[in-house]
Amino acid sequence: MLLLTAGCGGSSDAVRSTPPARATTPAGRLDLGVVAITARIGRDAVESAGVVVDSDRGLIATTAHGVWGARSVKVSTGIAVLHGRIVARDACDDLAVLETQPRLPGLVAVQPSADGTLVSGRPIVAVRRHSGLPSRGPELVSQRVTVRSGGVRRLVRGVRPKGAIALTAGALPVAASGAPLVGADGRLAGLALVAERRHRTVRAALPWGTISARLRELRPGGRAQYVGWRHHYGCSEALHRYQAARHRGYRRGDAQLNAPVPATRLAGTEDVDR
Amino acid sequence: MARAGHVLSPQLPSGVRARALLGGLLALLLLGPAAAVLLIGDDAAPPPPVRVDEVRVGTLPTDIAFAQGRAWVPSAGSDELVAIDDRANPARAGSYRARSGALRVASDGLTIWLAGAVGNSLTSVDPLFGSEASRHSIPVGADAVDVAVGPDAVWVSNGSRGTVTRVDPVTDRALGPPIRTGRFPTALAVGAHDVWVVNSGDGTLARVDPRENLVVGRRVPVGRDPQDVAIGFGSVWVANRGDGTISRIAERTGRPQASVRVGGAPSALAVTTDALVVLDSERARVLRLDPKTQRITNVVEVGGFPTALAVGERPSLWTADARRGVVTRVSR
Repeated sequence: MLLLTAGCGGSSDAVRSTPPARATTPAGRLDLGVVAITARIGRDAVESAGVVVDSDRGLIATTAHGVWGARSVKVSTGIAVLHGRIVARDACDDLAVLETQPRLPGLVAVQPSADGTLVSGRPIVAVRRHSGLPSRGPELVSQRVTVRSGGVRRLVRGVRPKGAIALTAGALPVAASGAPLVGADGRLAGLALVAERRHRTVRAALPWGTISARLRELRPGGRAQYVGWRHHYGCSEALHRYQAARHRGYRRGDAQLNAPVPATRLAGTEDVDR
Repeated sequence: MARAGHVLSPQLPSGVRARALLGGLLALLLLGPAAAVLLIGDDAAPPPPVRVDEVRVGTLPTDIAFAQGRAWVPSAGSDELVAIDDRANPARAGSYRARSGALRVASDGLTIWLAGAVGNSLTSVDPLFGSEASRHSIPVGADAVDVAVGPDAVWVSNGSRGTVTRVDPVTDRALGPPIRTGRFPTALAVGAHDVWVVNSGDGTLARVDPRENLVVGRRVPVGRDPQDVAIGFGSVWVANRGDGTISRIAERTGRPQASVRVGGAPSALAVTTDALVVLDSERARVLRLDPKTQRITNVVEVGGFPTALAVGERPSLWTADARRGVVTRVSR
């Protein structure tokens, strides 16, 4: 509240803060914590999902292959459609972190489960939302999935996320890649990884414990917000191949973060012709 | 919904006086040195009254621009552009459905330009006509993260693509190929000779020559996570949200001049006749930076989740609180 108005006797009464009523229920928290991501990769618009992990800073966890080489990232949230900026990614674990632009209040981080593990045979729910502006009808889509015993040999060629577990999910689409996996207690148990491989779809789950351990390794860099993970450029060749095979117009250069931008006119010529 | 204005004066109860003092500081900012002499030179002189008006604008206001005697505020949550009459008692005068997401706004005094995250287009609104026919969608072929208006062009920063696009305001078409400036250009400002672009992804400032649509020289490193850029007093000023600093760069040479630590998370800038005004979104306060001494003064604490800062015509200072969905005008 504006402090100047606080002393103006009653001026603060007329314009009251609207309580975030939606955030008080589990469904409401999910609505404000689950996002849809639309990335322009090559000439294709690629849909995926993500989950808010830091509401204050607008940080979203999603899969790396859903945004790798994106020339445009839009994040549809429960409050608005925002721009997305890739702040860190790890091709080997198929993990990426986006930041919303601009930073706005109202997003809610989904509470993680206590142990951060996925129990084989226990049903969980993959939650995603439709992209686009909020308040256009039902936006959240949930689908029951089951964790199988045993790991995943590889998600795509050259990418084998550590700790990934196979998922039984009949028709979980590629657009659900990055969708939070939520247990019966409404808490976050992991992230769904869905990728296409030779005309078939591979579905896996990354336990939240693995993801949060990776997130803790992130450190701000000198210029960019994060320097990224240790494996920032590891497995990148595999994702280059994966994207090039699926998206026409994909360019390797679009996936290079911090690529140098050469000057197109020499410094010191600013006053020429002026 | 509009709030009637409230006048802070020495006749108010004692609890108000501290805030009246803050108001005095704001008056210093708005009125310049003459007011400073008046306030500091005579202890007995009461601070000039400061008027505070609040207008509810919808969900998640994100920016403020002025045109045709009105303040124009995009509301991201309701996807609309809200007009506020900048008169004695400011009031909501109407709204336009943006349909492309409404995040950033700029104006040349006549036309309103709106950038959003839905689609890859810029929206121009001519409020003279006040109808749907006055709204045009201009494809830019990439994200429209921020928009700035120059004398003969509208400039759009393209976010993930790492470019800026020049748009012809007469034909409503993108002119020439996008100009690559750096990683995730977030904000831009049009100066007397150049267009200045801050790249939040790599913490640099790029200078674009609008005559040739080229980046001039090397990009200048600024602070971490730069979010806004403003031009004034012969300098280009950059608000670095990530490290709580303001970078000062000479407008003529493009050389770094200073880095001023303000603390918090400076995220928006505005230029008055005698100072640079800084919005610290982390501590929800407005600061004044004296361009001569580079001294920082706390002007007012606004609270909430401030997202935008602008200087109006009265003179007045405008802020938007995204948490409450309110725009506040502080004036004499």
